[in-house]
Amino acid sequence: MAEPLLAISDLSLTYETPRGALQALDGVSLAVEAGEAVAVVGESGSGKSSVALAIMGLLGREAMLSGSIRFEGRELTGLDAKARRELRGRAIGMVFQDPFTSLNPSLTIGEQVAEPLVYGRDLRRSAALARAIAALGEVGLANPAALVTAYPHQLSGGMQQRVLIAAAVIAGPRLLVLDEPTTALDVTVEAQILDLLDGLRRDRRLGMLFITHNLGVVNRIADRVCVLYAGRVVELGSREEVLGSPAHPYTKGLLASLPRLSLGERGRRIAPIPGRFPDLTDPPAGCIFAPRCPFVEERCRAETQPLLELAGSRAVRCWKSGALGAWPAPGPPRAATHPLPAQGSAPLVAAQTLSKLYQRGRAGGGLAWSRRLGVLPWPRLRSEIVRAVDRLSLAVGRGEVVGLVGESGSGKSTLGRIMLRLVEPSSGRILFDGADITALPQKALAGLRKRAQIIFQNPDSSLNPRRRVGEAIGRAVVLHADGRVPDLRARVERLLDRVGLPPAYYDRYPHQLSGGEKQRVGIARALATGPRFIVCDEPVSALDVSVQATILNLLGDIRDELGVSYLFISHDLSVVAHIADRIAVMYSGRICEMGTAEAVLAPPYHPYTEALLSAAPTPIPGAQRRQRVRLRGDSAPAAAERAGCPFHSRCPRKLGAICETMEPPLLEPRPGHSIACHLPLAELARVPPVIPAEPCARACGGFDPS
Amino acid sequence: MAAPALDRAPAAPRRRRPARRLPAALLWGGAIIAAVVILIALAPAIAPYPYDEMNILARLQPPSAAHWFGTDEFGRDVLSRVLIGGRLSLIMGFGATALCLALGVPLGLLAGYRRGRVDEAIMRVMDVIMSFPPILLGLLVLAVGTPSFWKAVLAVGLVYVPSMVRLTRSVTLNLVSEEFIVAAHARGEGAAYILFSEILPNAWPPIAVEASLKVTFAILLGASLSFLGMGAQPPSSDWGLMISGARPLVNSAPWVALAPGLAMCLTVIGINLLGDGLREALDPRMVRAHRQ
Amino acid sequence: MAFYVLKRLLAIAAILAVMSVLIFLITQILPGNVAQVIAGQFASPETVAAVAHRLGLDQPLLVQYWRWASGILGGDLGVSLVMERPVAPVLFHALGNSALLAALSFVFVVLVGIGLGILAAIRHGGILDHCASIFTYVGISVPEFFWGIVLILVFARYLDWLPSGGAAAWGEGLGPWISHLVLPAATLTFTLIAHVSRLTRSSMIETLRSQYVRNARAKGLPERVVLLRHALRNALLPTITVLAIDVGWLIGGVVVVEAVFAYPGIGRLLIFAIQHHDLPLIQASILVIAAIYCLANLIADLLYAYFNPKIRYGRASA
Repeated sequence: MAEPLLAISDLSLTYETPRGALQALDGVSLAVEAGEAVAVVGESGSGKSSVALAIMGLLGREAMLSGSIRFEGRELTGLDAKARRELRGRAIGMVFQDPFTSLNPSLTIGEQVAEPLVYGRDLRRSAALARAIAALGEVGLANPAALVTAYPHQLSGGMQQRVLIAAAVIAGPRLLVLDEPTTALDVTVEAQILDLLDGLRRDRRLGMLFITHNLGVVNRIADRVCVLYAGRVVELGSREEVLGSPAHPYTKGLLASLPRLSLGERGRRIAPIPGRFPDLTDPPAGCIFAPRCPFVEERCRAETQPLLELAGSRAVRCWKSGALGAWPAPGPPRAATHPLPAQGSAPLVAAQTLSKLYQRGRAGGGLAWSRRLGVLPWPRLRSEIVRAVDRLSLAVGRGEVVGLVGESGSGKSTLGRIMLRLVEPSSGRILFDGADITALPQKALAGLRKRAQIIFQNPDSSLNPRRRVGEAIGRAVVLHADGRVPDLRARVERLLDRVGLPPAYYDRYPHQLSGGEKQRVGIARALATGPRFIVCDEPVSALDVSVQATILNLLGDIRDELGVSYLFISHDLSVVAHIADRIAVMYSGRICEMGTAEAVLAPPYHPYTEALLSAAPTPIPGAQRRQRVRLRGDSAPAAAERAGCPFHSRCPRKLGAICETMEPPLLEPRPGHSIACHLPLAELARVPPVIPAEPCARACGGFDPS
Repeated sequence: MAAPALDRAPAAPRRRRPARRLPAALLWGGAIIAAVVILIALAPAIAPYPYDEMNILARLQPPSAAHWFGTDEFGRDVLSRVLIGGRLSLIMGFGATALCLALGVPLGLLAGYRRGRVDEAIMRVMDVIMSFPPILLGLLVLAVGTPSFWKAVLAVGLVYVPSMVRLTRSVTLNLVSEEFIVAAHARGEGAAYILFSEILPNAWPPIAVEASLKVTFAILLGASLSFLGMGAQPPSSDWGLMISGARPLVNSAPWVALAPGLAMCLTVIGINLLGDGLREALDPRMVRAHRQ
Repeated sequence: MAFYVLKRLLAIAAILAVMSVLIFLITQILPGNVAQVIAGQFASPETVAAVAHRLGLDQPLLVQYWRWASGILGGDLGVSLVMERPVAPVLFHALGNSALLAALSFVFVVLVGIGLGILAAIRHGGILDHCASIFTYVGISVPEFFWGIVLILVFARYLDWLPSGGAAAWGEGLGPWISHLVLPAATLTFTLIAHVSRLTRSSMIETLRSQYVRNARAKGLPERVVLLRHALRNALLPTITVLAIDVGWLIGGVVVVEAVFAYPGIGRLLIFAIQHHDLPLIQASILVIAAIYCLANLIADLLYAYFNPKIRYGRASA
């Protein structure tokens, strides 16, 4: 057999830290053939980015590398700086995660795309620029000739990522290394970028090493999959094998802990991976996954596991992989489910035609002249009004979970904060428990503050780093108590227990906690005042998949036990589909579709919902072949284009002028389900369901024992 | 709660912060400053001679066993004068910085927290103050009437208020959008609590580092003003004034100028080291780098 | 961009106006009875009144300010009380001397300071970096006047290579003219180089750690291109702001250095004026120095805007 394009064997990477040697990679082996996409999957800390940097020779000086990386038969480790540099760009291209910071802010797009040719291929600048225009066109950017002179800050995130891809492939590399290239992007834009990458791979017979944490993306792009855990390859195989019948317990756990985009999910608990990520300066003896593995036996703790070759190109780092059952299903909820309130009862919280307008000054936007006192010309900075929330109405019932889905910039967070009066609305009304709280002064909001709380996205920013956990939670108890609270510590410890943390955490500081634990503290803090309503603002978005599952379970349990209402904000449809009773889909400040979870996930769809659903990556084998709706462009409309339906500029089913001028009517396919669209209901209903049917029930964890 | 749903840690937290060694700069700076402060505080007790005792017979003596740093043109012991003069220089450094903190931090907090018109008004006033070169502002305040040491402290303190306001404001602006501040709003905390219990404890590390820099700036600017005759007034003396007085003697008796000059350099280097060490010890990025 | 320039110009004009009021108020009002100070402690009330009348101090404040400010706008900076000569020619002669000294130092500071900072950042952790950081430590810890005295001691007293003070006129020839400039300029440069190189170093180090520099390396660009094309440009942006602040520092240094070296510039003139309570001279020289500082800030702002595409091109929506 000919040598593969890229062959990594027994790659190990060690860092010296104050606490001893940290083994970031341990004996990693994998190969990429020409024209093949290999995905490296892992959670944070798995060492997946280190693999990419090692291939590029971009690890810092303090990294100690051993093993071999061969590219087209040539050994890369130990190459001198010059030889390495000559490979970069020309033989191996790389695309990094964050397009916002990966482009140089002070160079034009054209310069940045063309420079690998100028400095690597000794092309003249003008010729290189011409090639850059062609490359920008190839990555699907409209009007590339004009883009050449633009600067990065003038482009949207999706366009920036396309530019980075163009720069990575312009010098004709045979291998493309991609480090989470779509993680910073919205799901509809992600779908576009994945299509683009797939096309490039086919057209150029590019080998691709695709690094990601997202199993759905893996399903979309990869031929073969390499699952990395704590710096070790735990499973290797084709996409169908790994996603369809995972062999290693960790892979099983990862797949089981993903919330699925399918019907009938509400109220079901997800099976998480228990335990914590191991300390890589002091890894457990024996199998690295043993402390978290439900199938663990004495032998696992005693023996270091080798990577066992199975049939085909498959390999698993588990001695008993052939004899494993399904990942254990989670236990049932602790308490009886709170019954949902009857339809039509008065909602707990209601937003009525709420708007929030921001004025955004545009530096260099020029002057606008207006007249003061009738005659005086008066200069004003030209600015644009941004409608973060636009005449929007939404109600949350008692004990109800309303999921609010939207992409970044859709105004969903703003809406959540307005409903708690953390942001003042520009117009409209907010009712809480039937009382109008829109105009109450902040001082009179004690009642609301006690009964309505918020949980945040970012565990690092949501806790004051200089306060102990106990103080952070206790403060909320004290603030809303009448007088002193003699049993404060006991009450806080009860709250800690409620969110599954030991009482000893009372005296910890946030930096001593893991991301999931911080999120639990955030939930305990929100529960401290005994709220009836909680805005959950992307509460699991910053967490690893396995931790995300535990937090979703916790939030579900709390809802069931205490009958709290949530406004659950997320960009991730599968998370929302998992927890929400009703779903509202938001685009550019407006709600385009709203209804029960079942109604929204099934046709008829609003065209935007349809696009979102079809773009959402799922890890179910075969699902990647389904029909997909692709949106034009990648950003919400500017203020000037806002007339009519806000979605018209990207809508694949746009009718014509009516969409640009007339506000769409509200269609009601059935009571409680509304779609704002000009298309007739009958036509919307003709769309086939976008959600793939699951071949196998979730309870078996994606593994068919038969 | 079902047991497997926990990412519960073992009894001892795994991600313990490793025992961090204090930066060397912090230790050296701290040692130098401690020594300088102790010597100067004890100056009246340990100075070998009264600082203003003239001895015409012993004029312009080079350093010797009797006079370690020699004597000046009036036969006064230079060592004693350096020790005593240090008091005013340190008072200048710390006094002006205290003033600058007392004015700058609350204004910066207010501007960053309130934003809008309050912010606009405060920042425009600061812009005006900042458009004077520092020494000019000092001179302007001292320009007319009789110069005095306390006026100089006031002037130097005022000079550095705008930069303190700017720093505090930008730190506050960053913190205000942090989620834990939003959480405080959401549970109904008042502005005073949020400012002083939530924001200030997180804002003080950069402020402390900036303040340590300000102490050195104040000592240097204060000495410059004294050197120009606008600060400490004879017969009391600080290092700047001593150097100014020794300027005509440079050719015949350089030690009279070198002794206070070196004392000042040592002090300023000490505070700079302390500030750098402080920055290293407090910088959250460094902390994170240590943890990884 | 045009709008930005316009905005900055308007802001500078406004600040100068406010400054003139401030300078006027502080010098004219705060001390109490200026006439008494000028006439001397033992002057009779009649003398004081006469002095006050001569200075126009008996007129309403607004009138006094108007007279002063309109005079300045017309190019009349007033008449020195002590020298009894018009202020303008005296001031501008001194300003010329100072400008020469300051410009010379500034060029050195920019070239050496930035160069040293960049080298230290590229060789981060190396011997050069350590030497540079020791040098900058000493540099920012030594006040100009002390450093000046040390230089005088070494080069004027012990080595006797250079004059210890004063300035030579053009007529005396190039040699003496330059030799009088060397020590003051070296003194001024020393502190500022330390400051500029320190900040250039840290901003360059930060830029070298940025994602886009890593991305440039991943594109296979030669290290020289990565450093000069990608890192340097962005690293110099904050340095521009720092240089503007350093002009303020430079002005302070000029005042002190002129005192140390008895150099006949505007700083010495100002000190002279303050010591002799020469109000018109104080007001005029402070206003002129402040105006120069404002101008330096304006230039820095414009340079910053020019080199920063985010300001140059605004935020076009895609």
